[in-house]
Amino acid sequence: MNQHVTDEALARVLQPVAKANGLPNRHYTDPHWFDLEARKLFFEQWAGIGFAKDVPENGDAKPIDFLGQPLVMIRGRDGTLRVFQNICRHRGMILIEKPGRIRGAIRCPYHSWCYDLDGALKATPHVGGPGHNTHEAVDRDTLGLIEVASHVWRDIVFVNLSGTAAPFEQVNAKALERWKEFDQPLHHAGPGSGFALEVASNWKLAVENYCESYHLPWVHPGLNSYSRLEDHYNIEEPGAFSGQGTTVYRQLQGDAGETFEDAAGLGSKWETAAEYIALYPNVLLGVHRDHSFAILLEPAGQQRTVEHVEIYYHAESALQSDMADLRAKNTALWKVVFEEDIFVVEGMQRGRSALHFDGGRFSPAMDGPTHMFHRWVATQLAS
Amino acid sequence: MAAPSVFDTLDATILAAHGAGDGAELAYAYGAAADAHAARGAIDVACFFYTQAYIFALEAGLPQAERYAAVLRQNGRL
Repeated sequence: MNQHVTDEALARVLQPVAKANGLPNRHYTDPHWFDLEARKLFFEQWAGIGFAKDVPENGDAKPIDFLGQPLVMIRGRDGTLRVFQNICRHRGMILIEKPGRIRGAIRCPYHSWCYDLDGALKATPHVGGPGHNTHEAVDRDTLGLIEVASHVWRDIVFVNLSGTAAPFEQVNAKALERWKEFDQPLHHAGPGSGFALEVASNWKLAVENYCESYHLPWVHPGLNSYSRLEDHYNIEEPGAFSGQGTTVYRQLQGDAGETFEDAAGLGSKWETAAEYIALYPNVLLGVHRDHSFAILLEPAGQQRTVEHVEIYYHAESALQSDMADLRAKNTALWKVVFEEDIFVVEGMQRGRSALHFDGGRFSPAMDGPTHMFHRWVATQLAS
Repeated sequence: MAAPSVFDTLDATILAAHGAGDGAELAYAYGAAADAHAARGAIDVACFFYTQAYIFALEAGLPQAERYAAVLRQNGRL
């Protein structure tokens, strides 16, 4: 990249991996940079905010606070999931406080302006005086809920709050292409197939750790016992995503040797392969022949992140009651893995208070995916 | 002491429904109050109550929302 960057620290990040430094401490501890990153790395990108499974039926709504932005996901009468700013166009009142089913219209609790599920403003009671429900100055056709650009991929709800990003399919074309074989229905088994981990860490450290396999033998010795470091490869797609893959994925088995059914029509590569990518900025994904998972990183503060983990199965047969024990075992297995990472991301966060830390250096052989993420961050911030 | 009027009864019903957050009951009670006011020719007051009834019926997805809307439209209020 030949981009001219005047910020010296960012310029060092943009060096080739062998010479680069990581992002400096300010990106993990300075509120000014947190605010800037909220705008440049989240609002101007396609960021994950939730899961479509959380609004399964028409009329379901779920409010979400995302980096201070009040949003609400609503599944309309036509089955389309839309995301709106969760505010009334009248006085900016929050409309929906908790998840639930909307049976008729969304009524603002303040002056009762009412909206349809597609955002259209349906009623403005007493707006022209008591018992008069229209006023020439209040044009309902122009005062619907403010919709935010959204897209659902692999059940994750992505939004581009600024409305300035290219379409999701264009921005993430290479990820969609890479995993097109997995572009088939996902089946979620309910609360037992998800969990959340709260970590005292900046969200970027979770991405950095997820991207690379370098730490596996040290932090996840259980995984390394059958999936060795040398069985892994780096995945690097500049400006879009990075991560790691393994060539020796082995299916989980139950006590009777049962396994989850595979996704339909997969190529032979996936008999033993699994891949894990960080889709910038905040969605961590994993695919295997028989199940997938998604980790949505909620940046709850500069030094606090909630990791929302959801596991999906590729075949509906995995949801059968006789597979409950195996599903529970699978959830427990991943929970152990992700919990093993907590001390790392929290330790790196505390390390970011060290006055003389320069952002660190990368192993050119092992840290390419992590450096690629730092490059993406630096590029967005320098633009 | 005079016996409670229909409006006193409806006031109590409306307050109780507000307290319970019962939208369907609110739509019904406001609608009944509106009809009672309309019956005595108090159209302005009736339209206030029809508006209340309409909004709660709309929120709850009740079919009578259309009846209340129709009355409001007939009176140039919607």
